[in-house]
Amino acid sequence: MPSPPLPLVQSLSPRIAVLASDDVALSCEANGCTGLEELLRPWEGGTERVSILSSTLTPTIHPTFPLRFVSWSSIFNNSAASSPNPDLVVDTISSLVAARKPDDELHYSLTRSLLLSSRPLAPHETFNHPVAVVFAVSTAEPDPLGSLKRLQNTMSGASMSVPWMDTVNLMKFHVVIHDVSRAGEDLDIAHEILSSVKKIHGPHSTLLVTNSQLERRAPPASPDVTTHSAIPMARPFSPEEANPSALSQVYASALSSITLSPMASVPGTLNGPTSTSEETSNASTPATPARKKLYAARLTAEDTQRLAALVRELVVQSLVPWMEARIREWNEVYQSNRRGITGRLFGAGRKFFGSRPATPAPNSTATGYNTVKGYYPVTSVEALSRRLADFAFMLRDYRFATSTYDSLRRDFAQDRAMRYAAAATEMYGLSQLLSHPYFLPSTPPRPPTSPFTTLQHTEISSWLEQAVVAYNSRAPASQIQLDALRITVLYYEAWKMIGEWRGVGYALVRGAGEADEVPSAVMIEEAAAADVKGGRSQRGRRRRAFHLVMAARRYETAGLKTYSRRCLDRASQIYRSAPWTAAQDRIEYSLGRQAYTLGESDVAVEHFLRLLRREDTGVPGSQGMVLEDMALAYEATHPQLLEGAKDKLQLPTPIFDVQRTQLVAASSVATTSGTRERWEELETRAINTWDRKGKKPMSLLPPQNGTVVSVGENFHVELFATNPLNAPLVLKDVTVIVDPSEGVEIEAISEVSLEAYETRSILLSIKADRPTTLHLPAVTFLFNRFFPCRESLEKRGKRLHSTQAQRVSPTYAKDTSLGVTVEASKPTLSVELLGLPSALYEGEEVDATLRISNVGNLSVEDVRVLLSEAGILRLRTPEDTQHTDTAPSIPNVIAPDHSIELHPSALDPGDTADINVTATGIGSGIMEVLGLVLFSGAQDVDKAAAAPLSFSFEVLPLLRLSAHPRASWGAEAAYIVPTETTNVSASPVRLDTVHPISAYWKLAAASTPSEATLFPNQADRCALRVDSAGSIERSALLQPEVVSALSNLVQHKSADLSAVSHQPLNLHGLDSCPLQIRSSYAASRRRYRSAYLEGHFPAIPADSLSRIFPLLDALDLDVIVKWTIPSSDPALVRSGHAFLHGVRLAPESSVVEDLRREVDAAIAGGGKQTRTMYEETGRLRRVLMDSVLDGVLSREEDPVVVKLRVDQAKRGVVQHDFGLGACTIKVQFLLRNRSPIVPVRWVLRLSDSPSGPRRVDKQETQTPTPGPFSARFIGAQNLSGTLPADGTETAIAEVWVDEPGLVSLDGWTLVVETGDELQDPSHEREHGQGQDGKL
Amino acid sequence: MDPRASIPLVPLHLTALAILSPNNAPLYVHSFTGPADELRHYHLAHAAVDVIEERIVMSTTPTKPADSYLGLLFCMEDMAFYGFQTTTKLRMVLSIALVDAMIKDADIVAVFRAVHHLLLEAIHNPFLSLPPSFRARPAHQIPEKQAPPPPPPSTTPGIS
Repeated sequence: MPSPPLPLVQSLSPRIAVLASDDVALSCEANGCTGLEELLRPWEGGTERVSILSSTLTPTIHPTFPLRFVSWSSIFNNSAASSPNPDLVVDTISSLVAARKPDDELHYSLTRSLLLSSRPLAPHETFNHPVAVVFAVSTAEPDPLGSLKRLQNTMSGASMSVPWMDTVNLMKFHVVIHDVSRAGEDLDIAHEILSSVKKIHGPHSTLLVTNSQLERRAPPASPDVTTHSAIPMARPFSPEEANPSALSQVYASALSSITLSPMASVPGTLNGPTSTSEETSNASTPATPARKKLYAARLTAEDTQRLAALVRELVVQSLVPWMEARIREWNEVYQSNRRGITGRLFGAGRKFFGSRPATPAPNSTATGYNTVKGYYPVTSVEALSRRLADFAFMLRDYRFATSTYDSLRRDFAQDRAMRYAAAATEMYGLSQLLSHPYFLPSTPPRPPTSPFTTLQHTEISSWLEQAVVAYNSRAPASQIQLDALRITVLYYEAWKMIGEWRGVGYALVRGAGEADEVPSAVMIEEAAAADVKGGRSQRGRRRRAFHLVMAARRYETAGLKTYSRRCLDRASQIYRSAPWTAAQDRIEYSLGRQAYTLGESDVAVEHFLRLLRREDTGVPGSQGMVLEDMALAYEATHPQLLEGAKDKLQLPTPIFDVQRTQLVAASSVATTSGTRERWEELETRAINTWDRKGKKPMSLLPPQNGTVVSVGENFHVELFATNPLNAPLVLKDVTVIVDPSEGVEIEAISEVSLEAYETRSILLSIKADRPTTLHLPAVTFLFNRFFPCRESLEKRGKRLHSTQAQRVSPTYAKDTSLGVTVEASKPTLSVELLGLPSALYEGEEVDATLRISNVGNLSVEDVRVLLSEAGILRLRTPEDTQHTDTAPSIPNVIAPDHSIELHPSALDPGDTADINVTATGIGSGIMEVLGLVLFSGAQDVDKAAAAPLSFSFEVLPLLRLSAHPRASWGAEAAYIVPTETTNVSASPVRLDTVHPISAYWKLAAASTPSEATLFPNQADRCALRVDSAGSIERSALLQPEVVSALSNLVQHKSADLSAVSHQPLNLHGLDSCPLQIRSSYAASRRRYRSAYLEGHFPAIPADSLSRIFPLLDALDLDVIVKWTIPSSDPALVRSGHAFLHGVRLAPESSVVEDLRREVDAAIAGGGKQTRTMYEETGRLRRVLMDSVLDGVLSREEDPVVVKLRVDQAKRGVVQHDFGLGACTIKVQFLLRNRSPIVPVRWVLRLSDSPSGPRRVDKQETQTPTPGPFSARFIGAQNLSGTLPADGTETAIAEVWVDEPGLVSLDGWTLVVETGDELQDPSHEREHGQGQDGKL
Repeated sequence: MDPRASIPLVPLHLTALAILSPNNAPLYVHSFTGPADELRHYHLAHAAVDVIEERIVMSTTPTKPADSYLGLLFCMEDMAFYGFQTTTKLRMVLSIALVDAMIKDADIVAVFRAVHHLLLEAIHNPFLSLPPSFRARPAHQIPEKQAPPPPPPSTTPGIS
């Protein structure tokens, strides 16, 4: 059976003034109560099931009907108790709330009770005006009736003190109290007195028998005086359960209960001077609780029942009927005097036609608003109407109350009685709110199902707002307005009950006003709680956060730090998940400060820590302040506390980047990620060309993550520390934890200071002295010199999500945590190259030193180096050790050569060997050269290892060489190669010698050393005369190995390319060069050859190219130029060699002709067409075929040159006496086959042939002029023969000349056919050459 | 006759403007009434997020997306808060001092559109490089003013 919330009903219940004689007070004091009102207090709310007749004459049974018993004097004589000072109330609330712990959650109920019970006795409302007076006399008195009379006089005498309070229209109730302990058990006298009282004062009289406990009960050993808030509504005891302890407890609870008698529970502050007995009893022991005494010592169970019955009798038989009667009566007056048109009509009707109401009309002396004193006189209609409305409200006739309040509200506003208007407005809204059907007693006790419509709700809220604004506008904003608070609490209670949360938070905040006092803070905190209720969960949590912060601020200003902290704590939990960092920081900072001031330094540290996270939006340097505060708090914290809170104290942003942390072994410092592939390539090469003693190892390079080191070797942990703060930060004692830690030396960096947001890498060296497996789980440091931190370095694998199975069962990628395996010692070398300048000219040779130090603790031997760019380094040997017996040859393979032996003998630990080497500038641009220094242990050759070596230099261009060979008919040389050398550098260069080098060609005539000095941009030419050396078989020139390898490639025959072996070639001209030039020549040649082949055979992979093709092509002619840059200082003289590669002298002829024929035959034969699945495959294949069959190998050039010669002629003139007849001239046709490879078959046709179109044209054009005569050949008209490769032949023909003149030796045709005879003619060429001779 | 016609029109007095990201992170909070109010406006803008989300959920139907102008969100502490959501779900909260005058929705929308336009112009600048969140300044300056630094431990050795 729901009814309006109890606090609301309780605080607005009828107030009963108790006026008792002194004897009654004595009787009550025997029970520990100061007066009858206290004796009745436990039972004042216990009246149940009260039937009330509403204004529409509908009886309704209400579940409860509480009353408020107060002493008469507290209303009339004691203004402090009747209308306490608001400041006092606020202070009381503050002290009470402050006395409780926030966790008790009593702050709101305390505030509510105190607020509601401190409702002052005010003219503008009548809730605190007494509704009834209870006169109590005791039968123990000698003259009960006389004392009753005196009491009546007291009352009428006091009535004039408050002119705005109605002291006449009060219900009077008379109680005759029979104190059994004093007047005996005989009730006859009591009944006698009662009947005489009834005779005089009417039926509202009763008898109360009390203090029936005659024999003094032994007080219980430990009287239970604990205040029990759970039993505010005591029930009368039944006889069997009555025991003094329980009785006492009921009284103690009721009298100290904050809901029933909150003012009384505040010891000595608000109770007026009338409570003298209490004050005297407590004055001596202020420290003890006020009520620590035995109550109800003389009450029996029957007495409690009688007391409850008295209250019920008062309510049911006297008070409610009386109030109902007053409502009806005053309603008449109210209706007849209503202002406005309705009131007038009614009033007029009544005036003229109706009968006068029984109550006399308000007299004319005191009507209307007394603006000076600010109240309505008691007799005015407005005051009466207000009382009427309040009575209706108390009797829960809310609809009737609503309409009355409404009209009152308007009337008051018209009279400018603002306080009255505000009070009426608030009650108007509250009555509307309580008219909700949920508050009807007939409603089943279920959660409310039909809330207000938005319109209704808004209206009700707006009445509240109006009232609050009206109250607040009358007082300064900084002062708390208790009226506003009070009414807000009433509304809030009602809203809470019906589950209406819309806008409740705002209403509470508005009611709290601007004052920085505890009650406002409590209300705002309540608003925060209201924000998240109703609707979806979590919906209003941001509003809640805001209100919590607001409440926290007010609490803090009011001095309640613990409450403030609690609010901030709750707010920070909301903000922690939101990106509103500015608010969050502020909250954490406040929390930290408060914790620090409260001495909870560990909590303060925790809060400050949260502020030290990375954020980019703060004011630079602002986190420095936090750091300082945290340092202070930290120092003040007890170490044990810190130990306990260690888990909670974690930096919000880690300092060290786990992902970037890596292990760096000393031997692999140089391996950056970019060159890693090149290193691996080098390693593969070293392993593939393993030529050492001992077994081939699996790998040579140290593992990339440096996870294997040897005992005693230093390795480093590279940590990346980032300062997440916007202020400088110092890390102290940075070190890593190594597991296991025995026998491991770990470096600790004493201090690292980081600027704001700086990232810095920190290298920590670690050394282990025994073979073990080390694990690096964490890094430890002192954050900002004081806060010990430990950050994990574990790298957990990511959760995998790629497959169904991984998604179903959690699967993680491989852990990549740092770990090191320390192995037993292995040989270790460190190698560095000294003395290498940063820039070299192309081909320049400089001296450098390779320093090898044995840094391990095993001696090593057989040290070799393998370079990524072969030929850049070579061992320097004295000039005079040139061996003439070495074959003038270099390995004929493109693949780089093998390692260079640096130090074959043993190198003991700690020893250092300097190897003199010569570095040559090969290539162009910046060269980064990697070298792998291979070595093996002196004791154990199987312990092979490698040390990395890397260096770089820039290669500058110096000379540009070019050659344009010409064929020569001269006897001494077949070709003349004019070589042009241009200086493209900025320094003068002296050319020392120019050498041709070739396998096929040799220098025909020793060229004179040019000795030219070239200044920048100057060029020098020298002609090299070159002839065939004839040392190479023709079959070798056809490069059968290459052709067969290509054939395999083209025809899809899988063939082992490594099986292709190339014939070594002797190079002419190399023997005249210094021996040491060979490696640089080979390297230069290799670069040229690779680039050339890759350009011409794009479809063949580079590594196949280097196997298929030899390094040297026999027909290539290379030119070496030795140069010097002179200088007066011998140390600055620079010298080197420049190379020109691949000058082709002889006419080209195809070497792949046979292959082409095979392929063509295969295609023509309709052989199995190789099907390709993809278009791209086919395209690649076509590119391959084209590059092989139609590429550089298939080039054909006419190998035959013809020269005509007439021996008799001198300077082309043949003298002949034509008188002797016609002249016959012998013409020699000199035919020369320039090709070193192919033989040529030729046919010389001397006769006119009409087929030559060129010839016909020439004839026609020259006919009109007396041009030269055509030569007429006589004799055999067709000559033929065969020219071997590189062969020469002379054919002789005769020309018949019959008259002098210019004879053109035209008209012949030379047809040549290249290729071997056995095969089909491959080519036919027609030489339509003509040469003029002058006769 | 429209009763509101008698209410005088006074110029709007803006008190704060907040721009929020689609996931309700603050991008920009500015107080027009001075730096002392910035923290309050910051908190209020945060509290407004609740109402904005509520409003968007309420006004969105599957067929009709939410209107960009979200209307009056709430009134608090003599300020009225208005909401706006751009097509890219950027939210704006504008607070206006409550006056005894009509505040026309059209005026508020005009303010929002102008701000939106300015924002678009600003982010169209290809050289604009802002941190992921713009400066949301206020709260850092305030601790220094409000909370005095704790006394040095030398003078108060026993903090209990």
